Amino acid sequence: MEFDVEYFARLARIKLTDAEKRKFEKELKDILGYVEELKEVDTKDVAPMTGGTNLRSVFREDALDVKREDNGRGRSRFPEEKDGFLKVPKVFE
Amino acid sequence: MIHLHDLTVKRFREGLENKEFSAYEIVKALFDYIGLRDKEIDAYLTLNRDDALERAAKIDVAIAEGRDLPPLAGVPLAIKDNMLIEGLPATAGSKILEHYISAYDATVIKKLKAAGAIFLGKTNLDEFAMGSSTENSAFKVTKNPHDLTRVPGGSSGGSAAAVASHMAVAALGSDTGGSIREPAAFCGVVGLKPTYGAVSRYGLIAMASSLDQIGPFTKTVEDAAVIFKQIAGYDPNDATSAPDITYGDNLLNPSLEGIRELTIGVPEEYFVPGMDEEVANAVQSAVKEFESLKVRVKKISLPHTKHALSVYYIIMPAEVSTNLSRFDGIRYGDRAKAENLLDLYYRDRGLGFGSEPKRRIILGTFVLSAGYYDAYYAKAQKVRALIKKDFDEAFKEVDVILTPVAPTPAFKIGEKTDDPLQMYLSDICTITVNLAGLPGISIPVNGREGKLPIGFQLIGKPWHEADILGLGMFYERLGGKR
Repeated sequence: MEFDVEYFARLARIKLTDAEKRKFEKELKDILGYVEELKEVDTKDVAPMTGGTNLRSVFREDALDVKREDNGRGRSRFPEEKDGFLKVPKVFE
Repeated sequence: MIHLHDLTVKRFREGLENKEFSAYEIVKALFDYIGLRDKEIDAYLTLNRDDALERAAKIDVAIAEGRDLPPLAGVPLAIKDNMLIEGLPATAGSKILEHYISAYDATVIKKLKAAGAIFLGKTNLDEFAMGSSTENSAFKVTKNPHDLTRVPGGSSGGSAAAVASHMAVAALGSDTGGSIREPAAFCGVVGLKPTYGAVSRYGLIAMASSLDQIGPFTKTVEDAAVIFKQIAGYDPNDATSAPDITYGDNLLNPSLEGIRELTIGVPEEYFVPGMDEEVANAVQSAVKEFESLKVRVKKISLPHTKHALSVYYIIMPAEVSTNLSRFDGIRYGDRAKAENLLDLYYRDRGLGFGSEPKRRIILGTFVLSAGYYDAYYAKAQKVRALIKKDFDEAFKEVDVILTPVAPTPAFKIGEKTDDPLQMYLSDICTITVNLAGLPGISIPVNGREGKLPIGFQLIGKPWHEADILGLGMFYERLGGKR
């Protein structure tokens, strides 16, 4: 099959070098060729397994947990900040 | 003082209680030994020397004052560098997190601290836990302590090598497709991947969330049970953590009568063509030893096994591509100079990730994309259900399943780095267990002193870690381990 590695790398927001494009295109084609074998498996009437187990959903109150000691600590890891706010490059030209 | 080679979690406790040595003496001796031995093994990325010695001294004061000791008092552990310990780096083996310092403790770390454990340092891994040899680390290549020209396995290769070379008494790793069990087998130590939902992943840098699980590396099965009991349990911070499961003391004290009531199944599909003959023979020798313990063994079939690798290499990259989208240079990590936000993403992710994460993110983006989703991702989820059903059927007949851990012993450094598909085949015996959410343990085959280690795997029913640990403890006693 054709596999446009550059297109999917762009969707994933990853810049590739030309050497990487060539290398990944070949390797990913090999992997996709290998997984083709799944087409042989009869999965008619099989419900997909969508998670790690059949655990039930756990709910909590939709309330702010202000007591959590970790709140706000991530701020110290900001690469750039101004007045306690996270600074990012401009979004629009 | 006791030789570090003889130090297990259990033996450490006895030594402290009998005042044979102090916690400080042992931790100091470990750092001295790491200073020499890790020059050739390269298991550690960061050492936590001052904090570890300080905590050891506090344990010794508590002993001198006659206070009650917590269950893991002073036990010196190594932690895979994708789990957060507040104030220490957590690189996940990636350049993109090279300068990241953890802002909080992972739940497993919080629990181990409460149990009195000491952290020696953070260990090397394949970048974002993606790999089977630890060669994908952005920082260094860890060597197998049994043969420095060979890999320790991966992705938790640093933790496995640290325990195998006695540079830690035990360690934590994470396992998405075999990343605890395969390195344990290659390095000749015990590695446990618990049931999905048994151990909280809060503070573990996520790889593939429907598969990831944290577990221990230890020198004995008995130690694995001790550490597992401390880290297991419900945590509201991990939405997949099981709310109503508790593990009792039966984890620690199996009886011979109890394990004789279990039936072991051996699936023919796991003795794959191309499997190393020595591995097949070693695993069969483990089967014979269980028979000598008068445990029933029967042949079984898990017919969808041959599709597991394909399913895994669709579902795992899909989850990787979503989980790793958070690494964008915005809130933490190193930030490249960029014209605008989009340019920043391209540069940070293009420069920050190594080949394996890039390969998997792109593959995952592809299988989730419009037009391909049904043919790849949805199909894989259905075959995953069939793989799980195989196990459900088998567990009506048997209690535990015994298989090899990897098709070969530890391979040479560099042998598989140019061929991702060959590397992926190293996980062929372990990934089914993650796909089905089951507990699995890798145990070294007895009697391989002086040879490359080989492991066998015991797979249990969900929440039945006691079965595989119990069988493992009696097996290791046959091999002369306490």
